Amino acid sequence: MTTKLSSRRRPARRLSETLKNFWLDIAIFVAFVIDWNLRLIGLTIHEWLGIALGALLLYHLLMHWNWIVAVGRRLISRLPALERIKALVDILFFVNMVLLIASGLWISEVAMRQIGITAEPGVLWRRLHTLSADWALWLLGLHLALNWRWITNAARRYLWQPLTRPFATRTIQPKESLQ
Amino acid sequence: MKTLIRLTIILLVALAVVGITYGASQSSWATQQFGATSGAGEARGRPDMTASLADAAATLGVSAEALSAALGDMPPDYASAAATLGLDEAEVQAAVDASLATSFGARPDGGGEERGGHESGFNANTLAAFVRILLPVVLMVAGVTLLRSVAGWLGRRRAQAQPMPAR
Repeated sequence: MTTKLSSRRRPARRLSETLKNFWLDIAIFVAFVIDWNLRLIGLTIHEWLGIALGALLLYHLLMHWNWIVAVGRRLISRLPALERIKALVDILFFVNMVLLIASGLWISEVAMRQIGITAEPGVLWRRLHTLSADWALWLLGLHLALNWRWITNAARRYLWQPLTRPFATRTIQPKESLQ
Repeated sequence: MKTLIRLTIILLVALAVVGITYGASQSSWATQQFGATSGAGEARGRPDMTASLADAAATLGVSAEALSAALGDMPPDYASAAATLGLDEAEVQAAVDASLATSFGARPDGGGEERGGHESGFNANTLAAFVRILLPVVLMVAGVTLLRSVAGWLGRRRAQAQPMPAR
């Protein structure tokens, strides 16, 4: 019996989807905030971090594919008002981020040159980059605000509880009740 | 395979967004809008450096327009600019580098970073920039949370105000 049990394979430890989403979202947020601060990081890091941010956003969209498809199907017909607002904000945010990254690549002076691509950047793309960067802040705020409940729940579960668990007071049952 | 298809769809949608924007940027309306508000340098597809060179011009004792014209397109030609303005090349380079570093944080050709030409490190400016970045996010979260809690409170109040159905 014991040999049977010990020979049984242990299931591989996998990260839950929520946990994966949570850490990915944190990485995207931190990358975004740092990348926004051009003066702190300089142009080279700004451009390469922006490209990495684009890749992270692609992964973020892939992780939420089922939600995108489900909401997309019901967007026109029936959908609660809050979900509809969330979807519209997310569409706007997606378009804004596409324009932010595309214009960034277009006006790139270091990263694209290092790859060997040179473009003739027009003033419109520069303006678009600064404008979409400004809009991205507000849309990111709105995106976070509309998903705030999920964020606080995930933070409580994956950050707060593991951190406070060692200090949690254990309830010691009296001996009588155990007998 | 499924992931690849999804990735392709996302990239195609992104490409469509960029394509539409590019199409709009080529329209006469966009050219008119941006052509009208741009400086002489911007119209040629580069930012107008006159404002960024104001400090350097003041240091060198020349006008910003003259300095910008003498330097030409980026990366700036210091030797030619110094010859045109009748100044020392090293003096021109030092003043321009300092001025551009203050305006952009780094030289447009990226060379400033290696030489420490931009304001690197954490200081009051970067702290202010972080505050500027986080402020809209915090305002949005606070505003929406407040709005939602007020809506919830009003909903509960309305439900309480409704008379109980008679048995």
